[in-house]
Amino acid sequence: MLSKYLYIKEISLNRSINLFSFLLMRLTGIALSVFLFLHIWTVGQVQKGNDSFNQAMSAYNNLAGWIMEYLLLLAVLYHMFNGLRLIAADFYNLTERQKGLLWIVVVIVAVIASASLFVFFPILPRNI
Amino acid sequence: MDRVIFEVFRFIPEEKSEPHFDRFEVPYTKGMTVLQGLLYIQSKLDGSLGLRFACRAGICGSCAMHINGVYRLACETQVSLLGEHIRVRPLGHLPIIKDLVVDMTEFWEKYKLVKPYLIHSKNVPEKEFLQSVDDREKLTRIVDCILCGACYAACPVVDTHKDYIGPHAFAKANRFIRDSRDDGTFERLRIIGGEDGVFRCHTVFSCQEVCPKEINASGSIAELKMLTTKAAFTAFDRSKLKM
Repeated sequence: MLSKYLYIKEISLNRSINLFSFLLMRLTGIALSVFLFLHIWTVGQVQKGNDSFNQAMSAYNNLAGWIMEYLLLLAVLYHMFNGLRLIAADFYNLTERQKGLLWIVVVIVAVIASASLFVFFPILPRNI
Repeated sequence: MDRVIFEVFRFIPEEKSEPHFDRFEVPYTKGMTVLQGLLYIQSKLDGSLGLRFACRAGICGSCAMHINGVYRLACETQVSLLGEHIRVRPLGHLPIIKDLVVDMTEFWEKYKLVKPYLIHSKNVPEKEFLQSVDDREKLTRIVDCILCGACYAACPVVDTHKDYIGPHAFAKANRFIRDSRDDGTFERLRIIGGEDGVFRCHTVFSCQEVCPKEINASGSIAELKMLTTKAAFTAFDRSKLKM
């Protein structure tokens, strides 16, 4: 059942970049929905006082936390820019240029993701 | 290349046999299409192979199938472009009758839903409807749809929502809505804007990618989404509706 909604058979039969981009859109959407609850719980700790909030935040201040936050950034970037691509295709009659738009999305995500590496991983040297 | 290996999907649901692929060696001739290869198998190697074809010229749309990972017309696909190894499956999302032959009943039932014919509410002229060159131009490309079913087989939404009308019907509906001689826009938009209509499309672009006639089915769906929304806001006032 789950494989049906993750379009595993569809992708195995029709291996086009479009289906991969659609699947990634869906997976990042699910991931962001799950993250929302984690985010609300973390921020909600402020109601229990400063120490509680600081303790909750410090749980993410390690390598695993940085990787998670970086993956979150990638998910947000892809979901946002691909969403804009789909809106542009639908509203501005650009369906025949959708593949070019997808590569523009990939480039934008790659550029922002590369530039953000130093922000999300404080252990990286900043003056390369 | 003097020979080609065909791996052909075999399955007869009535006999309750296991679906499997049979391997055939076919001598290659210059300009050979996949359909010619399959017909060679049927006439010389295994007469029990089931496949559907008619015109052999990319006009009837009968021989659409899954060839080396892509839905396409067997009669238009050159073997030389695929290499020595060719794997053939039937169209997806449709029940198999035998081997490469699928039951297209649901495909046609959904097609009929969008009223794929000219609807007249005005007085019908004695001789014929006249159409200007500009109005005819609006139908160029989209009128080329041969209803082969490749877009329907490639659409992932058809797999998860069995009642989803499908890109073939939307493209055809758009073709008639664009037609200056047609008055059935609102009748169609009511069906198209429904629960199983265009708004269930996930904009994957698979339909457009596989179309052997390069019809912009995704563009048709986008146009219909826009038109349905406009129709809802203008309370179905035709004079305010512009394509």
